[in-house]
Amino acid sequence: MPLISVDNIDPSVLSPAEFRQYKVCCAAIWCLRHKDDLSYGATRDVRNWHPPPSMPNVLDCSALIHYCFKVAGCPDPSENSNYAGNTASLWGSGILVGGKNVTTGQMRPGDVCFYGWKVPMVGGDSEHATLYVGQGKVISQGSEEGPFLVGYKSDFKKPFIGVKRYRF
Amino acid sequence: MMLVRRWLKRGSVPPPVVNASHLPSIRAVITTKWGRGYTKRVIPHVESFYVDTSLDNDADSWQITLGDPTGDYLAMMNRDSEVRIELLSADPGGAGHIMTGIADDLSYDQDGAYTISGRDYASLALDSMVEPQKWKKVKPMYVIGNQAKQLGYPQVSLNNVSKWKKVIKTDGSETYWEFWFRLVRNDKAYLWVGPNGALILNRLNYSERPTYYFGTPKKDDPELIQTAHIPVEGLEIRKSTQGRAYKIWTYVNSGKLRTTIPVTDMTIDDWVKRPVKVMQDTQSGKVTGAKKRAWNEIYEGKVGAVEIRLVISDPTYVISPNRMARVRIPEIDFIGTYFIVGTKVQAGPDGFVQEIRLREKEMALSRRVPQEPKIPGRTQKAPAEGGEADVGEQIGAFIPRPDWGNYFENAAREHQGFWDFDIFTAFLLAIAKQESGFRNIRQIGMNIGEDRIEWYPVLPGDPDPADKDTHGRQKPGHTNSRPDWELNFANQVGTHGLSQEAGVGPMQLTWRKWKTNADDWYADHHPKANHGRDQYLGGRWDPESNIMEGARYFKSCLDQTHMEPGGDDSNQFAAMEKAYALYNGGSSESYIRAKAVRKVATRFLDPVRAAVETAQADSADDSTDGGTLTSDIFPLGWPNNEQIIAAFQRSMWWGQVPSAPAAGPISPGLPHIEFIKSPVYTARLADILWIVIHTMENNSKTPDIEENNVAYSVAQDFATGKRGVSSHYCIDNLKVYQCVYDKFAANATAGYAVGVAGGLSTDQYSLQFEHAGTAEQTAAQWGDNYSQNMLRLSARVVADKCKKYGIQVRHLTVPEIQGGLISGICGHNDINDAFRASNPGSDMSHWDPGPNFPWADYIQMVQDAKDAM
Repeated sequence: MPLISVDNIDPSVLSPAEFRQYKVCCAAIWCLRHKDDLSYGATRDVRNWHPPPSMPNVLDCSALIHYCFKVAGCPDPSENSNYAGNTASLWGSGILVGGKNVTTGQMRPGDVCFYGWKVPMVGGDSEHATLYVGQGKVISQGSEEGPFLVGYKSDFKKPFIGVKRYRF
Repeated sequence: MMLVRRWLKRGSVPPPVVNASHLPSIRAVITTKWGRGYTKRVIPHVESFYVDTSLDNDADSWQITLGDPTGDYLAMMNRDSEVRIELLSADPGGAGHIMTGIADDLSYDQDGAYTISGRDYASLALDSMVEPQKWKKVKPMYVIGNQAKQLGYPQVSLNNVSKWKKVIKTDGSETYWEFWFRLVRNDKAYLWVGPNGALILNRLNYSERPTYYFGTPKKDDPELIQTAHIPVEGLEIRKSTQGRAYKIWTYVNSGKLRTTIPVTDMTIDDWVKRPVKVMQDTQSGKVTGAKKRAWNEIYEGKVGAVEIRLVISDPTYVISPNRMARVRIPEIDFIGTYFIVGTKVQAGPDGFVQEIRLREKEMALSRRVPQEPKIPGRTQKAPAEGGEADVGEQIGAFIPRPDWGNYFENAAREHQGFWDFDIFTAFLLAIAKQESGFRNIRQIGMNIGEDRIEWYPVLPGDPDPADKDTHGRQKPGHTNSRPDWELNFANQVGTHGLSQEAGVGPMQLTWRKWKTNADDWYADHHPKANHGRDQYLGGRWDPESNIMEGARYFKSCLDQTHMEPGGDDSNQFAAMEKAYALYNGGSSESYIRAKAVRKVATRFLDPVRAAVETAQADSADDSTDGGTLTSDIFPLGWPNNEQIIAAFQRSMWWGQVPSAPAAGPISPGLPHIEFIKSPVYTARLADILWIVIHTMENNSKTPDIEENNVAYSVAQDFATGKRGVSSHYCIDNLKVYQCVYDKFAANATAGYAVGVAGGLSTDQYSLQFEHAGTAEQTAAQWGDNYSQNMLRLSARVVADKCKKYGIQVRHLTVPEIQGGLISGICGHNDINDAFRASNPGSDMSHWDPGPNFPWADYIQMVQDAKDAM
């Protein structure tokens, strides 16, 4: 049963899976807090991904998600073993929480929101993925300016497709 | 008009009842500004009136003459007030409402009489336009009902005429009445206003048995019917053949179908005058549909062709329409059952006369359904250029060649004509997909060269850089030799022995003319290019020119279909499907291919539309990939940097933290309960009698193993349903999970409660609580922090249930359980002890929560929790 929120969490009462979920959000929040140290790029230098206080210096939208899952000790959300997937492979795995009409009540921190023009997704610049962190907000890494916090259905210039959940 | 014949023999029927005493009993209730506001006033001086009610007219007209020699009612003639009139009979058991209406014209003359004429309440809806509006997922009658209430109808009778509609809309060109009539006609119902001003929606009662009997009764009629007969004083039968049509030629031009269909009415085959009508039809998509419309047109010629008018003596009530009536006049051998279309009531000093209009069954009223007004909308035109979100770029995002998106957009902009931009673009994309799969290749299956090779430029003498792929390997089909290259891309018949003209490029331009057009277009837009109409290097191989020329030719094919965009999208799709068949040569095979292209185009339509809408909605907003509403405000309570680092310092889970000692009074209220549904439950057939305490037996090897999240794992285990058991609540030291709703019975205890009222299975009377722990625990182990925390948590839940279901807070003894009269709390072992003897076949071995369970303390905790509530 995934955590409903990562606010005011006492990690000592969490189950292992909940703790990993908490860490996924923690890693994303860390990147958000240190956005100036992060630039945008599609490279996936997975071997040099280390947990906070270290962090990679180049990430793109899906790489941020893979990074968070990797350092939190979760299985690869793309269901490969190398954490090098893209939005298309993210969309191709996981379980669907909801489509366009998903509500924040159904979503849990650590879920991934998808934006794009077609389903199934094909990967590439026309598609986008963000990490949900609760309270209707997602962390999005989409530009050189670094990650930012924004509403999960805000205008990413692409239609909102849906939300998927991965194993924590 | 055919027959007007006096047939009455004086004396054979009773003389007309001239019931002069009736008119004084008629009252007009007039609502107008008598004083300051609108008030009612009863006026007894009705000198004469005339009311014409009919279903085939929208509004019924009426006229009243009122005597007022002293000018008492001159307030009616005030310019700024409205006059509403109800005409009723004051007789007890009389006609009641005869008419309710609104005065249109009033006059007062020197004789001291008002002549007031007007229409009934239908005029409320007839005279006002309905504002443009759209409703989704409604039953139209509710829309009508609400609007009628707003317009001031005193009553609305819906009669459940409507079915659910996905969408209904009006564009502001209709009056309320037209709008309502269209809605009810779509459900084959009609609309009229009753004598009391009520709006009535109903179907026609064609199949009903006669309500009224006119004329002379039959001898064998029952007495009740004999007395119901109303004598007839006058009869007129009219027949008109003017509206009748013999043959209808329907010229169908609907986008899907373009043909002419004749339909003949064979019943008037031997007539001399056999009128032929020509009808235009832009709606029908199929021949059967067009024929149906023609048949309806023939039917309309029969509606009201025969009409019977009866003048009847006063039955002291008003005959209402939409009923069946039997007419029997033995003097002329006239008998039949007819439908009442309308009545006319006329009363004056001479008496009281009703005229009834009757029509043939099934042919009384027109069946025409008004056409829906067209609301222009959607993306007819291309969005304005220059926005941030370019349509072409977005199109490029979902086709394999991102750089071609703009070519398709520009081609559609250039050649869309009066067709919708989005549909036209979708078809261009579909053509490129079907023809070449978005590849710049020569037509497949030529007699020379190789197939499926993307075109690449080779100038005479150039080494070919495109020959090798990035790994330095030879690309399949690519050679360095110019002759081979020419063989692969020659497309004009005769060159190198090519047997026919070959299609070129993404749009597979086949005819020489289109290829040279593309070459010219390229040369016009690229002045420095000097290849002219070269079949290897000309503009025909440039995707932009190729797509532009393809769009131009497709548009010219569209023009050849002589179809116009109209109606819904499917008309445009049909036209473009036909155009594609022409594009492809117009053979029978190409019509089959066109169907496939249409399917592909429907798939492209949604993304194209989304792209167009985004471009239209695109306002001045300058962020690049990100959202527009960035926020740097961090939610309160998020982990801070230290906490994040701490979380990652131990790469593993933090592990078990010992429970804090329980202290202080039990906190009031229910703890947070999460629900994990177990599939194992049955309907609860008896009231809750017992709260049953279980232990989970989560580890039998070590009696007192205590870990966090035991309740969660047990609840998950119940959720699988594999064991076929369940419980209402699972409780450990931190959390409570519910698996089965209280209103259902879980499966946790065995056997039947023999001796208890009902004798159902023990589960039916029980609310089950699973606790982390084992039955083997010692008293000390029950007293440790973990167990105490759990019991305190459990007590809060149990106390709530005791209060909710009126269960006593006490530990039941075995005889009390067997008696089944006293509610309370017990262990699983108590249930088994009570019913072991009476359930020989059942598994009664469970002994949880064990002999050391701290019953006294626990009951005290529940009592404390209940008191704290």
